[in-house]
Amino acid sequence: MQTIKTKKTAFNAIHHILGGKMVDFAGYEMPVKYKGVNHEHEIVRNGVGVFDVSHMGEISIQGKGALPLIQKITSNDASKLIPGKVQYSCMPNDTGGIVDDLLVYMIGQDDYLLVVNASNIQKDLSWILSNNSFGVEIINISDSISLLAVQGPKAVKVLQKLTDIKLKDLEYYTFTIGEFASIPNVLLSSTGYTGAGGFEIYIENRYAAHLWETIFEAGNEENIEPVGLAARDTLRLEMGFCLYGNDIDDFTSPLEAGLGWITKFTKDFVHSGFLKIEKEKGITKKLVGFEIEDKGIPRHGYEIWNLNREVIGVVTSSTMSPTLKKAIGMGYISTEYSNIGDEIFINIRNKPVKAIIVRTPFIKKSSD
Amino acid sequence: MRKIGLYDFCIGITDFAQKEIGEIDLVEFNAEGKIKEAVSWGAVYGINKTFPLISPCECEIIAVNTILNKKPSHINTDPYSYWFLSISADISKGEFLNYEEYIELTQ
Repeated sequence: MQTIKTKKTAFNAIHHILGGKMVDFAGYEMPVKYKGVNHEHEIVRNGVGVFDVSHMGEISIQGKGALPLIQKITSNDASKLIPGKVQYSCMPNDTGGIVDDLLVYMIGQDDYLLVVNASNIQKDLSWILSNNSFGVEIINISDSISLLAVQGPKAVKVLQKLTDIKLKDLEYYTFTIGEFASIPNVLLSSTGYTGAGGFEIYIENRYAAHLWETIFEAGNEENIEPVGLAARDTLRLEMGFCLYGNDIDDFTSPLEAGLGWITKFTKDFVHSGFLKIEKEKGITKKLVGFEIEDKGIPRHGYEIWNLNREVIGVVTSSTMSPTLKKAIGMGYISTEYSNIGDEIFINIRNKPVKAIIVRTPFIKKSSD
Repeated sequence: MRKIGLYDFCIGITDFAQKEIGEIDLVEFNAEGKIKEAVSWGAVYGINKTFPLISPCECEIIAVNTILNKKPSHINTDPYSYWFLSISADISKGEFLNYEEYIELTQ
């Protein structure tokens, strides 16, 4: 019998020392929480928190055919990128679903970095390689890169102490490469999946312990704290951001998932004809946000009912929102029931629990 | 389970259970009156998982702790003070583990 070893990030020992509750997450031993999810959520919304997200995958795409390859495999229009810009995109498959959602970094001419979900690294690599008819160099550099997400309204103040790069000037979804905390060639990116503002910092593994220590020293006055993956989930859900494996997967269409804004038919990509037809015909179900009116918290896979207890959809993500103090969630629902304000019912342990369709994000961005 | 009368008990979850669940967002009870052993009588909602509550014996529910409706996180801070239900049952305490036996089992 083959045993699969759980991978460890370069911050693993630090998580243990700090008392993080460690779990297996997409094949990596990761901290799910430290002091508590609600507390960590609050820290990120109002102060500054640090996530180890080194389990994310990084794939380098280099060569003359890099842009044509990326244009073929992703739905967003990568020709709009300039060096220093990041784009959120997704890789459609050939059956109308999604291989993965990802970030595309344009490092320079013919030089791109794709940042993908940890659980999909091997699947994405195979998919990209199978579409590489452009002679492009594709290298999986995931195992040599460490990634920290420093998120929250006070992130700029803390990180600015460690670099001459003017962090305030880094617009949302842009990045720069430079010296940070005396480490050369750090990729500093104004991105993150919390809606609280902040940066993501890519470094080589050997600098990991130094980076962690330096950031926490710099953030001491701002009460910086480590944050686990459970709070990352409540934070992203409050923003209505999709999570691969929950809200989108190989069987959900980007149009149904509300990702029409990154599905550009001004170019051809894998199976774009199918999605184009789907768009023209109109989708029959779509991903919506809802707030629970009664008691109960739905979970992934729970049925959504109409008043007659007929199944009209399924829950994909849900949690008790630490900010709103009520249960919120997302799910796919027949379009006829999907208008803002519509009343739906969720089958929670065989009881219909009332919910209302609401606009996402569930809360405003901290910077709004 | 804590004996509070000849046949009456307070019932809740253990410190070990609350630690495993993590922060408790909601406690829900969906049974009343006389109920049989091994019947679902509610659920505890953690951050991303729901844990069913099952009756340990045939009993009658006397009261539900409504304080938990307002602040279920009390269970995380003091699980042995914040009971869920009080029940009346014709059982002997010997049928269950006592605190020391339980600690030995879970450690």
